[in-house]
Amino acid sequence: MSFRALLWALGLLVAALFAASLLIGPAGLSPSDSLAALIAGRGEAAALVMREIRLPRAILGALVGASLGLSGAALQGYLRNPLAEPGLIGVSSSAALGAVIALQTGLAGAFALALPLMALAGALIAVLILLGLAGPRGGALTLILAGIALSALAGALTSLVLNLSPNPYAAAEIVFWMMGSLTDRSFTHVWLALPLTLIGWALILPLVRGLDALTLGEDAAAALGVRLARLRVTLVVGVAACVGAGVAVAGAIGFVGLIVPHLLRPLVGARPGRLLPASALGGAALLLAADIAVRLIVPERDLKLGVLTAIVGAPLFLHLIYKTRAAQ
Amino acid sequence: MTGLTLSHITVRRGPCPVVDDLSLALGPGECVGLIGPNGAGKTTLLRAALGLLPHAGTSSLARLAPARRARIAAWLPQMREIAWPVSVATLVALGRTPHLAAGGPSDADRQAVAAALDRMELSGFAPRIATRLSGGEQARVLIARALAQEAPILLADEPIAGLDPAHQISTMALFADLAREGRLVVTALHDLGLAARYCTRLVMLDRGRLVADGAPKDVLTEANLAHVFGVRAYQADTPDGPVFQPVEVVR
Amino acid sequence: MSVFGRTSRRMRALAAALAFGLCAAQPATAAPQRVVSVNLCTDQLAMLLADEGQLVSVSFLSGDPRLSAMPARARDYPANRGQAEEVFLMRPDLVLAGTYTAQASVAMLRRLGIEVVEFAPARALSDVPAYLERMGRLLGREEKAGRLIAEFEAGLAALRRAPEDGPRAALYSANGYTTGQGTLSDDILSAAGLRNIAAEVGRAGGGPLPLELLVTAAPDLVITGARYPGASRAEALLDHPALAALMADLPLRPETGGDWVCGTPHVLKAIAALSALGDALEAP
Repeated sequence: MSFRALLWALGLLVAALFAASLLIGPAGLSPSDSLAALIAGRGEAAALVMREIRLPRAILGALVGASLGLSGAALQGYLRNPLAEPGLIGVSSSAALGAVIALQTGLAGAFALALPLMALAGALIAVLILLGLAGPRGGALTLILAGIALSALAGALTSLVLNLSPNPYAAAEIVFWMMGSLTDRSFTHVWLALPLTLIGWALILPLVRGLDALTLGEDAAAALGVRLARLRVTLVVGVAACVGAGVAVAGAIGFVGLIVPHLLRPLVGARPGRLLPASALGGAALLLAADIAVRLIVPERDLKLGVLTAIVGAPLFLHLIYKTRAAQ
Repeated sequence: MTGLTLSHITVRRGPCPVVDDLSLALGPGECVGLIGPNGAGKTTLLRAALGLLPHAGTSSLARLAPARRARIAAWLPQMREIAWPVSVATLVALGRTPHLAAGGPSDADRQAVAAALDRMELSGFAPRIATRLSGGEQARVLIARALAQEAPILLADEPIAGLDPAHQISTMALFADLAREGRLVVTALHDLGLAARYCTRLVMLDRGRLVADGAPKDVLTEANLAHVFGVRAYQADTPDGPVFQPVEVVR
Repeated sequence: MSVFGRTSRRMRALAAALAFGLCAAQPATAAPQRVVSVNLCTDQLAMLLADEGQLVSVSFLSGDPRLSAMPARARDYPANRGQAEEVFLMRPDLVLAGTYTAQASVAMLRRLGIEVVEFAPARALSDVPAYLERMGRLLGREEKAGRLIAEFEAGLAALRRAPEDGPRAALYSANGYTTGQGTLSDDILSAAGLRNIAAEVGRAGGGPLPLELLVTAAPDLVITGARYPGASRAEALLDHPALAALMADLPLRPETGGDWVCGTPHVLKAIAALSALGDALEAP
């Protein structure tokens, strides 16, 4: 399959899952009624359900999924390590900490964009610490160990902030921040996440040639005209922006950035640059599918998305660790 | 065609100079062998010349903007890294990075890749996965990548280490051919015999300093070999060209 | 020895449980002198019934007007957080707990030899007289309990309306939690002459109601929970634009409060307030 055909196929898959996401829900509207309400509704209940509940949920699923897939592919390409993933290396949980601080200090109440911006700041600090510790080559062991420590610290601090909240419900929400969910997210959240998400994508997507050249190592890439310092800054800010924006509204959903690049890598001839757009589409598809699945499997409960992605992703992660070990 | 001028290049690691006030003028058409014992500063000198390391002094390449420099000089690092299981054709095409137009590879790019594969006798390898090749095959794929860059200058760091004798000879012959075509080839290497046979000029380094620079027979003198490498060598001119073989350690 | 020790503790716990079950048949023994309540609802029953000085401490939750019908009264008592150590140090001879009180704390208090009595959450208005009677017996205050029961039953009879075609109401609080048939809140709604939409969408008991179903059900009244300070995702749901659009068409926005939570006579206030709302909705 040519690259173009692959992107078309993934795009169609995303479109199909997006439509399915719009059509599935407890209200049990028929597909034709749903579409009519979506397009031509005038404020009646069905139109409200389609436009204010299902549409933002589907949009966020696609946005956040694409961000996670893209960030995973970009981090892996930069570190030349298939285990790098925003959730596993603590970037998502640090973003969640930033978001929780913004919410509980009232910063987000005073200035709405403080929520994604604080999440970005959390993610940024995590990426910088990781790159500082793991070095440019990103040795698998250092990366994973640093990620475990960062995740644990960020998770603990998130729990602390939530426990100190005057709101009794806040303490129970650690699960949302650790596992992620799109339930009842509204257009408010879409507008909060959209600007930083788009900025993140715009920073990461043009790194195609730099990441391709890094296949040959830092030195060869630099000699091929890649400005490594600039690439690094762009990548770090880009990943922090789109992961931060996603986590701020949907919580930390793990493993998407691991599963998607792993599945798609063989289909793009392992080229890190081509993996970027493919993983963005693949991530959107995976998260939309997971969000449909949580609604179908246990419609009455708010099953967290991260539960599903971890059930699929963790065994894959173990497999990758095994392969990495075998290669050494 | 373009040459390489280094003047007063100094690279320090901490307080110690790894390359110490080194000046060289290399011109097109030369196949220059950079020789010296381990730790003499060969790799550091090549990286500083490209501007990949902070250094004092000036290098005609390091002064260029990275994108422009990449069209003038190709660099073959000693570390043979292939991070992802890409095809040989894809890997070699990475050499075209500095030339790529916004839209993607042009006919010229495709021709350059095909020519580089052909020149390294790798044409049949194009669809194979680079990481699954043997070490020697990977080394040749990486040389093809540097050739595909079609730069007038090629800097190579121990490109023939780990190759079998046939491919060592054919690679050095290729470098000599490139020089005859008017390019400048600078290669660090440890095989003094191949250096003597294929290089038009040798530059000998010891502890960061330039010890000797000139035609192979003028550089590979008994005194230089004893002083810099601590070896004595058998040398002879034969109908097959110069033969050079280190035979004993003199230190 | 240790085996016997453990067994005797278990026997004691069992004895406590049996004693509680048998109490109905036996005459009240000497009333407890130092009673500590660690549960919001037992707090209020005890405050309503206890003799002067008999109740030593109530839980901290009873001081919260969002949860408690008697926040001012509760502040007259030292508050506890229900942890075994602090409760033990109050030297109680009876501890009142809910069946959902932290089981570790209850078990610890029983190991320490303190009698702990657990009350299940009230699930219907008919639980109120039963709970008053039981609490009266436990505290040796049967007479006062009898008086309160009579008042409650008279009050309820005066307020109760038939819900056949009253306004359709939805209970919707943090996390989209709704309560349907078999809950105290549902009973309060029907006593006030309102129909709970939970029955229409097939929800019994308590549980999350998908926002979609709430919006499509289009109730006449959405009764939400009182909001807490600080931010939570659970309550942010109440700001969802789809809910806001639904609420924009509704003239009244009542909130539940302390009167709704426990099976005490205070539920009559909730019923009366709701009835008034129902009347306002029916009025042209």
